[in-house]
Amino acid sequence: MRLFRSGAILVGGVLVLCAPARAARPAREGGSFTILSTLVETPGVSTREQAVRDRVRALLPSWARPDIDAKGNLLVAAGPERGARTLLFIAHMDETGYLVKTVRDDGSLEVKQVGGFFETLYEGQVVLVHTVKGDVGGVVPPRPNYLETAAAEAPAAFGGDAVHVDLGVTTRQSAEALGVAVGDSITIPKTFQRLYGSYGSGRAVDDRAGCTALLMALRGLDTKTLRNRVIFAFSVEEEIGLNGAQALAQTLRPDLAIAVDTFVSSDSPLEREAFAHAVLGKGPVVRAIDSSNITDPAIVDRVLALARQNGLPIQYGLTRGGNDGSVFPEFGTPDLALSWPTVHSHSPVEVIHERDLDALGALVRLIAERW
Amino acid sequence: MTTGRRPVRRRPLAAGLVLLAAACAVAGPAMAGQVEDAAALVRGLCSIGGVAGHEGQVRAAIRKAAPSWATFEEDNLGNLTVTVGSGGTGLLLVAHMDEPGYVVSGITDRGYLRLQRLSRQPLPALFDQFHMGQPLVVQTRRAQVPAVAVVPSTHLWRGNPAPLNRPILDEDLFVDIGARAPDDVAAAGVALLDPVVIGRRVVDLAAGRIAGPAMDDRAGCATLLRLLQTLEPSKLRGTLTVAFSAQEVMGGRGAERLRNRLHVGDVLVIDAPAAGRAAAVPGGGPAVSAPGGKEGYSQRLYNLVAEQAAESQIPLQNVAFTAGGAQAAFQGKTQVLAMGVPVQYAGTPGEVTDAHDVLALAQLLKAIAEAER
Repeated sequence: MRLFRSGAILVGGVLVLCAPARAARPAREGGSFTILSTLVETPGVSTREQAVRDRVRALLPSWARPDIDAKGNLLVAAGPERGARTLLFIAHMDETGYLVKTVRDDGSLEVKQVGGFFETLYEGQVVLVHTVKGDVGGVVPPRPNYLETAAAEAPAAFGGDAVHVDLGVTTRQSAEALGVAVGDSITIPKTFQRLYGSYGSGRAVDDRAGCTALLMALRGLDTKTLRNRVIFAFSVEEEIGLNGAQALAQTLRPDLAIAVDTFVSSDSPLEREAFAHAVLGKGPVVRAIDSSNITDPAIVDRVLALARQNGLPIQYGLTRGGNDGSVFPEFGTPDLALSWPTVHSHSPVEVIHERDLDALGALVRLIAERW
Repeated sequence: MTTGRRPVRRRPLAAGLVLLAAACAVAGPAMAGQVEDAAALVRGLCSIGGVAGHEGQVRAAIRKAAPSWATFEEDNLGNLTVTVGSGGTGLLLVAHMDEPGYVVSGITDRGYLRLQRLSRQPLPALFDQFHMGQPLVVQTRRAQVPAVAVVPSTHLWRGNPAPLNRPILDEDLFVDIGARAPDDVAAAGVALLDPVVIGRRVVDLAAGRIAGPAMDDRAGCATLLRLLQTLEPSKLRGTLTVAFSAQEVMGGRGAERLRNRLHVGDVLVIDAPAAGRAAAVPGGGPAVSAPGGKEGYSQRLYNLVAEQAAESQIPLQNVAFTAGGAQAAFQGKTQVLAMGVPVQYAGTPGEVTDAHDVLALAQLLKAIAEAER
């Protein structure tokens, strides 16, 4: 989910070893986390979504005939071409991270922040640079005075030009010999962790969970009985200005745009529960109001009724952030945002509950078949 | 045997790097294989959590990687020692297994864990912040339980860093294992006082460098393991004891136990040198306590180390080591000198070390153990 700041649009030979951390509860075969973990562990910083697109394509049902538009959005259509209505479901493939801005003479990398996040989350942490030759390990050095007490007095004073990446080389030539080039994307080493009690955590659950919900719906669709034309779009560049969705809005005129993206919840001991309080594990969320859109209450009511009639848990509320569907109302198409509740947004440890994602996939399918 | 201070020429760092690189280039594929072996030891040990007093998994990994002839003794504090050779002035090499981390100090009604930092040694001012918003591991008696440290959502603060722009302490950390009630925590096998460490993300950098948590002092442990793997007991002069100590970050408690348990003449403490502006550089060769060091400094041992390094063409970096810890435990009781593998970005989850230094230090220690003292 794209970060909105005070109402303004924010535009903005490696080995990874993880301890054999064992989930306290065995993984559930065939659950939505099986797809989600695959997608989360694939890097896809905004404008560098190719690997995620390839994964999505590989996970599509055999009947699907994906199309990729000039912007890089992947689209799958189903149902009659002249259906009763045209519904557009959108989930974005991209994630926040960094891009290499400059390879310095000393071999270190100047980087550009992509999307909105607390940059301190990268300070002193290991990262991977995704190059044409493969992943290259690096470290984001901490601020020079990180050992001193003064650093703790302004701990958030880290970011912007202070962020660079140390690859362990001392010359630009050595860095380039590793395959590193301007424009390469940088992420943390990406691992999806199953937690106790059907929770899971990882970087870019936003919006790989949305992609997962669309894939689950596509896999379950009975395409022969569809009354509506349904289009599933896996979009690019959401985090840097809804750019993929903007491109879609130029060519598609659906009757309803349904963005499937994060509901950033205050269900956390570090947040205030005054708003955005959707509880993890209590079902999908209709994101009725966010920083980019106010959904027609009649549409909200219809979704709630449809979910309840079909035994799906459902929540609704308001939160912050923008969604891909919000670019459509200006062209006459209403925007509905469907979500799962998550906490720790845009951090390395976004948390999600598997039942919420299972139900969200079912809800997307339900809307595709019954709207 | 001279005990007087003898001037030893400091080799400039750049020259040391060139020498080390040249040695690697000449040795070719065989050297590359050895570097990879050393790197594998470092990776393996850094991938395991080992909070002070809870070093069991590190201990198990050391036992597993040691040569079959090595017979270990384990004392009441969990120090692991292996002694080889006989007679002469005993030499003790000691590296610590533990790392700064946390233990579970409380469980909230909503099933979150609260933490207490477990370290008496000075840590970076941002140590606790480096854990916020990161994956963690709870090391229970039965299993490794994945966890995350709760962090404010950037969306809900509209990008305003206010919630993070104040000193973050261990008491600010909430840990989510996926439990939502104390009963869930118990069902997950997590209990009060279980150790908690940062999630183990270890990556290879270029040219033999490795980044990850707890390089201090797993790189030292890897060095001693490499020494054991290459040691030829028949060539030793006197008795050699290789020790992997516990609870170093709690004021050198493990080393104090070793001091009282073992009767050794000379002690080389293998630890990461002090961080800061004049810190040793990974890839520049092993670090040794600079002449004139106040605590735990033996000029005689320094001279021995310098001589053997020169003979083996191993560059040394003369730097400061943090006072306290294992050196302090032996100070005044015996001759002691601090050495170690340089570690960059000390105290972060992305500490950097170089497998070449591990290899070079193991080689140097072997030469020292085989030399007349």
